[in-house]
Amino acid sequence: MNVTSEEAQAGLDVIQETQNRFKKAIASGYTSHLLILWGLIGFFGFTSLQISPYWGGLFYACLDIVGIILTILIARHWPTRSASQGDTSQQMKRIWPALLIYALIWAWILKPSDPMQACVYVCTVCGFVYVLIGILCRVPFMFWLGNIITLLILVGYYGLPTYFYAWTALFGGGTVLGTGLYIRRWR
Amino acid sequence: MAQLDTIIHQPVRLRIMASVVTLELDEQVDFSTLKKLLDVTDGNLGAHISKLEQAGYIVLEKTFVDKKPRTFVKATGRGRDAFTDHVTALQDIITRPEPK
Repeated sequence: MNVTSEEAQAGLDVIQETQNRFKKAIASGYTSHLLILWGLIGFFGFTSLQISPYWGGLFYACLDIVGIILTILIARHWPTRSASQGDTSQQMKRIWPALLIYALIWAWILKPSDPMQACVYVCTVCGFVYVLIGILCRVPFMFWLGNIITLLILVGYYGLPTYFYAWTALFGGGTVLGTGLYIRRWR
Repeated sequence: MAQLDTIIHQPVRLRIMASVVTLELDEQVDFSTLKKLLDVTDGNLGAHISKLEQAGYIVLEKTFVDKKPRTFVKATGRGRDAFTDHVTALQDIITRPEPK
């Protein structure tokens, strides 16, 4: 087979471009769907908490149940899977020990004793899950999203306690939703 | 010196192999996802995947999710080695001195 150096370079360029697109698309996969789902849940859930802590809490709990059901349905249609693990990813299994250690240490430091502190705790643990996914699954935007969300939650809690729920709805739920809408373009 | 692989060198098959070798060793990608990413038709992708499967470079696994058939594609060790050799051959062509 006679191939010129220009044709060889073109072949290498095609390989590079294909692999870049593929990695981005697989990384976003249905992650965009999940981020949009939980971003909306976070936005409406925390908004309802700001309006009425009691009824908002019940509403948010219902939203979470809907979110979990939809997450399971979305996960069943993930574009990639591990052949040896069926639909369960090897990398995702490594998250649990690290998450458990983080959750225990953070609970010991924060000592959540009221609903707002409980929200801070849950949200920052979620942020840590995103960071872990970013590291273990080599998805950089998830790593940064997790850190940004954690930072915003803490800024809201310590800086604007009166408007913490509204702050979290906008900058927590909104950030997750915005990221989901942004990475949707990669597919 | 590495040799160009005539099976992999075809444009669509080159892109298929370039895609699947980026996955982890035992990771598979959905046929529909591959089709969308490579922007080819079902028939076109199916024909090229069949060729790569016959060469032993990829394996297919057909399963059902929510009663709908899904096909997953995975690169074999032989396919990964063949792709690596093909890339090396392309790089050798670029770096070889021009004949005087």
